[in-house]
Amino acid sequence: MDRVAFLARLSRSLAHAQLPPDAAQARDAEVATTSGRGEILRLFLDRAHESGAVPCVVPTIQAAQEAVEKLVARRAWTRVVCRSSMVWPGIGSIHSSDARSADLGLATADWAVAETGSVAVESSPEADRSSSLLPAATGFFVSLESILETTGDALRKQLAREPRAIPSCTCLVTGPSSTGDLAAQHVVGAHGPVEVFIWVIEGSADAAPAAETSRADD
Amino acid sequence: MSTKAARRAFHERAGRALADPALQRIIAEGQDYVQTHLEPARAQAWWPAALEEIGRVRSETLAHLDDYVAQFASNVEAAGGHVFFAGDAGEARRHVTELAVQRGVKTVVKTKSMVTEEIALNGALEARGVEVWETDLGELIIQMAGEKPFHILGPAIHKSLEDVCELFSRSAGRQLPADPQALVRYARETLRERFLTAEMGITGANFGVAATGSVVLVTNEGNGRMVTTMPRAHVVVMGVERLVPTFPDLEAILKVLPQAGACMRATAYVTAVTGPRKTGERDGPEELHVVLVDNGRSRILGGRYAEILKCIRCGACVDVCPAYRKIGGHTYDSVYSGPIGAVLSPLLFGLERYAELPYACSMCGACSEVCSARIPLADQLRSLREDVVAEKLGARSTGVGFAAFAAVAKRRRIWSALEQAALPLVAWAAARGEWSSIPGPLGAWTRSKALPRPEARSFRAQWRNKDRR
Repeated sequence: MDRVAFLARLSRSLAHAQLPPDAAQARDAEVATTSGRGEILRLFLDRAHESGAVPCVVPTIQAAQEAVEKLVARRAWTRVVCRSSMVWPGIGSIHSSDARSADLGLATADWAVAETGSVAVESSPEADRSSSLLPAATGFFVSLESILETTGDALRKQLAREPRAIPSCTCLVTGPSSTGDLAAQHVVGAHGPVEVFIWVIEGSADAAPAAETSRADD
Repeated sequence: MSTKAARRAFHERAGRALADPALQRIIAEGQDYVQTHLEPARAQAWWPAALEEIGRVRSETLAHLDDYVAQFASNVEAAGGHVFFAGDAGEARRHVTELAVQRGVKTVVKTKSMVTEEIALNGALEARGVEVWETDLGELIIQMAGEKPFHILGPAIHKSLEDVCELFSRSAGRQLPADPQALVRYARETLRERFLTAEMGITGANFGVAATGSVVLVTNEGNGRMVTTMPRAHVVVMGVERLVPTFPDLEAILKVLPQAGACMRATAYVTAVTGPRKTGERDGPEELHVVLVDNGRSRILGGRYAEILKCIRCGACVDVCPAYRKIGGHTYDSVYSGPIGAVLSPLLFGLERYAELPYACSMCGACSEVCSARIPLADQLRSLREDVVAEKLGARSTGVGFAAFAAVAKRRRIWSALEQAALPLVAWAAARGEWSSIPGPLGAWTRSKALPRPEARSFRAQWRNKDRR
């Protein structure tokens, strides 16, 4: 059916639609964020933990890098995938096209939501989707100041942009993947990552490490 | 199928469900689990206001649906996507199938999508030699079992662990342990390769955002991310009513939907896709196609049942319905079950075929109370019963019986005369006590309950004597 006919059919139906009278009322005025940074951080950590993620707070990017190195060493992981601007001397990394064989995928969260303990990743030429999707474990660097208090704040501030400015994909990640479809039993780890680590960086507006000569071939 | 045959088939299916103790236990446990775990969220101060807001947003969208559809389509195209307007199921099936065939697609991976079930897409693709893999675990299970969904959010909740183990073992060609972790791991390993090699991914949409042309998926398993990232073509099939005006309009929905649907504060993933991958991006689909499906929705929009299109598919009504609790999802013989299915199925697919569904209801009103979008489901079910009667689709004996009752009830003298004549019979029945079985056609009333002992005197006789005393 062509667009004009399709829309015309809807318009004709609307002339007779029986909908409740409150349809045209405006939404209530937005409620501004009132909590302080400390409260937002505490809420984020609680909710992230509740979702099954493993969050922690570190003072600087360097401390986050050290935490990642310790985790990788403890787990004897050998293949870490991340975008090139995240590479640093202490972490071996593989090209993002090999994300499927990585032990750990690292990503910088573009923003986060305290109310749900979620981190958001937006796709771009510099940030692929696969790194935080294909490996069984993923880790996110989140800057403290990028944590918004509520989902509503996120929707209003981050996603209500001009259409041309919207990323091709924004994914809000809350804990590891899971399913309740198997005899109503909750099982962690379905098709997405089985483990989610979050390092909240207190110290800097830019969570990405300084650009280094990349070991990963771009 | 005639209405009479459909009625008989409905009662046969209901009878099978009622006679299956294992099924009865699974459904009851599932409903009880949801009610118990949802209670803390429902008790929150924000919950009622959130439901009102969802109802408002959905009503606003429907009231201007033509404008929002036009805006959404323009924005999808501005972001590099393609939009197809499908008047009915056939058009939608043909278009998606042609997209696959033209691109030499051998394998499709799909997320859970009720509308793709509604239009019977899988069969059409398979008939053209395309292998279709359902990737939502529940959908994968029923695909293997060759069944319809049992519940709109948990399509395989009726399957026990042993049932699933048998299905997966048969597929694997070896015996798998009846252990949830092991079975999920099998599904993960089996589908991982399909995600990576499939040429086309097909999803539904929880919502489309008109202001940006974005498609939003609310998922837990990660299959939604996989299907929208790995294949080179992404096709979204969505009902035309599944829009919201702007991203902020999703706020209340994203708070309520995970709770009502999965008893979670937030699902693992909320994915917003806007167009195909942009220049320079390393992954994501190269093409995005959105298929907007009417298939009767504009007809519903133009009538007294328009509010049913506000549904956000949260499953709250299904999880509280006492009728569903006893007869389960397959009795409805439709993609949509429970109260939402009892209203939507006759409206989309014909009252003749689904005349029994409005009667699969105790009129308790629980569905209306819990509905996340404030749809007056119980009122709509009652209205559909009126339609069944008006179109003479009910059982002939019921129609004759009610016509006879109406003829007598409108005539006080005849009513009183019959009452007097029946007194000796009533007195005899009263002396017998409770009636646990009545012979003949009225026996259906006592199949699962006992009638109380009748009063020996009519209410009016008692009322008249009350004042004298």
